[in-house]
Amino acid sequence: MNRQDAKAELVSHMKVLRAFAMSLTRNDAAADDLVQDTILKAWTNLDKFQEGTNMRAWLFTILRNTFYSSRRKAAREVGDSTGAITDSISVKPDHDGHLQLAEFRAALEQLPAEQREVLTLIGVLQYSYEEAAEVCGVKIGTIKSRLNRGREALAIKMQLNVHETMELTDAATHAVVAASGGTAA
Amino acid sequence: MAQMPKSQPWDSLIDENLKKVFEEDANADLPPQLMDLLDRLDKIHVATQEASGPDTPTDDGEVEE
Repeated sequence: MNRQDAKAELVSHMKVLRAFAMSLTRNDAAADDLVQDTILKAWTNLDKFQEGTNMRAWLFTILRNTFYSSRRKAAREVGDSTGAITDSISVKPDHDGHLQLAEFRAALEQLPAEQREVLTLIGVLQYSYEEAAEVCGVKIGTIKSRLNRGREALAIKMQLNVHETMELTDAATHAVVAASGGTAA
Repeated sequence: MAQMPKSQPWDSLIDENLKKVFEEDANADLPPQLMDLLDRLDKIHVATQEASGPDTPTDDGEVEE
């Protein structure tokens, strides 16, 4: 493949690649480093890319392999065999003015990266089970399990937030009622 | 034919939020370090097949460890 054509295609995938990195890391700096490593590996190994095939899928594969390799290495170094510590390393999102979406982001951060990855591939990028299994290098049953557990965890978290919001509203209502001498309608 | 996931009552709401999060991330400006990297790509030495990295899939999608 002509390198200038390859570069143009790489550039066209950069933002989606970074969004995919964010779905794995939930951390801006880590996502940037991950994308940088991915682009460098892709560029220096462009001879392995088969022209006419899906470059975005190829880049996704490099990115996720890099991410999980780094995570395994970090886990070995700190004795974090389950990845619990590395999973917990994240930054809070910037305030985006949409409380519900910010809460959803927070709930998403609490999921294991493997579940976030499958939720993104299937829920956002519309991959089939088979395609997701191929990208992740696992069986279809594992994809289904990660998807279901991820969605259930998010659903539970969202329902909990609904209850918390109702409780807050009730408390605020009580305060208004009390301040007005209990005459509020 | 490819299998598609079965829908649960909350799936559409979750997927809608997942898409919003992903779109926000995908629409964000690229940071300077990545823009710089793209500018420098042409100057980066291109390795031969033997010098390839461990996380790069080969032609058949397998990963070298």
